[in-house]
Amino acid sequence: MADREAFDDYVRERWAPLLRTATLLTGDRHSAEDLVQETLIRAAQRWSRVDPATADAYVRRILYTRSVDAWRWRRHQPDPAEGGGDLVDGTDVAGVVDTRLTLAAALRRLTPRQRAVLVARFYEDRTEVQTAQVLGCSVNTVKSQTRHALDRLRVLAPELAETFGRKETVR
Amino acid sequence: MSTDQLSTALRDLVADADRGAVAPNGDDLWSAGRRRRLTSRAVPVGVVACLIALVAMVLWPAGPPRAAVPAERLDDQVSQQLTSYPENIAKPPFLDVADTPGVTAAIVPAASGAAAPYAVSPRGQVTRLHLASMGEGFAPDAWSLSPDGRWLAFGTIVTDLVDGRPLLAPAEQSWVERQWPMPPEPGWWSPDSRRVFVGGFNQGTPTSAGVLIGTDGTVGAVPLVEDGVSPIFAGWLDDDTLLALLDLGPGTSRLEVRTWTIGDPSWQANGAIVSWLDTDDASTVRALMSPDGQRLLLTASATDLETQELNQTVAMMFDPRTGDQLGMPLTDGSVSPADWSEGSFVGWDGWGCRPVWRNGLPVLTDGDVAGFVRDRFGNFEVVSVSSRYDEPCVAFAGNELRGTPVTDRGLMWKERLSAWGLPLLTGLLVVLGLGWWIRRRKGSWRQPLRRRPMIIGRLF
Repeated sequence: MADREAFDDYVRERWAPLLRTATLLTGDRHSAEDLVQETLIRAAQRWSRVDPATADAYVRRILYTRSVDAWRWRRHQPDPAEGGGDLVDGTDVAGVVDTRLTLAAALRRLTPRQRAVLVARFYEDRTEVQTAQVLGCSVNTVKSQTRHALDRLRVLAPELAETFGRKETVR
Repeated sequence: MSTDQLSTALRDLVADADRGAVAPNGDDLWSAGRRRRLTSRAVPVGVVACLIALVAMVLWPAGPPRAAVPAERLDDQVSQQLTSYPENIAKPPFLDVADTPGVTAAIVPAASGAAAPYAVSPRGQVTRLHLASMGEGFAPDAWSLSPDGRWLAFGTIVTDLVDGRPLLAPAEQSWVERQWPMPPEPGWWSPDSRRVFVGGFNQGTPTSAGVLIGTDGTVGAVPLVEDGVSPIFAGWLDDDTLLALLDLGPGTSRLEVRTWTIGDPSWQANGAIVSWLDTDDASTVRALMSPDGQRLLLTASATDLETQELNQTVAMMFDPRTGDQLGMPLTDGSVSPADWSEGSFVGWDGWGCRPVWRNGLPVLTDGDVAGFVRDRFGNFEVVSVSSRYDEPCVAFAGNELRGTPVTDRGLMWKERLSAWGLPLLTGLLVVLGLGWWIRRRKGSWRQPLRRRPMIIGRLF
């Protein structure tokens, strides 16, 4: 019973941050809601074994893993991140020069792995080591994926090249 | 804009992403998680249970029936005859080893005479037969089963298959084996299963043509058929009368029928002469009486003297009381003497195993147990014997396939599964395991749930 109450509390408190992260990972709020829901269901499966102190880390790890795994089956379906996403609601991306819109459009063109690395590194402000741990890969993989992601963003959004072209700060 | 600006831009991008969104119901998520947890546990357990059941079905030894199968009583005496025989003699893995298999319909010899044979119940259950006294020096196919399936004779060693005990006391058994060593053929059981005749001259000056061992423990010598002449024994004309043939002419052109009734001092000629092949090509002649004593089957095998290989075996049926030629069955089962000229014969695919009778017609037991009558599928096979047995000469109870054929498909599938099912299953499991391992290796970075979650100091 205590587990269930703790889970309910966690969902109530952490749902909104999870949704924001998932939105960046999927590029689509509906997909993000599905991803968060699937993540929380998986977390509930083993909630009794999760250390309350690391519960959020555990859930986020599921979130990242699922976001990449989901890409595998989405390959056979229209990718919600391929245009028409709703990172920015009701706006024509092509006609807008706003940095946010350009960034949103560029993010949608990245691979799920690249998006996951960028989100973990720059949205959640994790170190390379922490990112590697949360994604379950090596630090070198994080480095290379980050570099590729930034290079890709620079190509996709030349107006932001100044941002992505600069050497990132080592943390 | 630096990467710090990128962080800021990303946060701005989703700052209002949860606006208007409704948080999911915690109860629903919890329930779904519980259900999925149960499923994730139940499915592997189910798969493992299925595999265990499959393996158990293959490997679990099937115990032979210890009770006598339904049998019909022929008269007021104790004798019974089997009412069914196995249509398939499979060789499933991991057979039971027993000395009391109970009523037995067939014996499949092992490769060597001293090795344990296989006892087959009337319903096809197979048991590795462990006898207290196996005997040595007998031919591997020297097994002979009584018509009631209870008594087994291996040479002169008679064993009760119901209680597993040898019939004769050790001292008496030793005396019998010394007197009539190495009989050339399996014994001949009387139709009432009361006694078995084992042919063979006694040691020293021949005074007997064989030994008669009763199931009541009596032992008696059978007089010589004719001094200096080796007879061709054919079995029992009736419950008390043995029949033998004396080869008096070239080839098998003059076989004199002799009979001996228990208690008589000597063999008697009944006046019948069997006249068949008049050439000397037939080097080995064997005879077998039908269980009802109405038909006498002769087979003649010609062996190449140089290579000692079997050239040809031929067969023909005769009337043992008159010596008349009866002919051989056609594919529809009919037997008409008018269809056969004197001295004619049919090719016989056997090479020396003792035939059996089914519905009054001969059936080969050399390898395939097959008759001369086509079944509705066009086959001649009567009993299917697994090719995994080493020795093909199967001895059936009373040299007869009597009653209803019974098929135990479970045993057949056990053998099939053990022969190719288990290797297939093992290969499948290996492939699945390999695939799982490769997938795990390739996608290891996407499989975080098996690792302990890290501790993140700062959450957003």
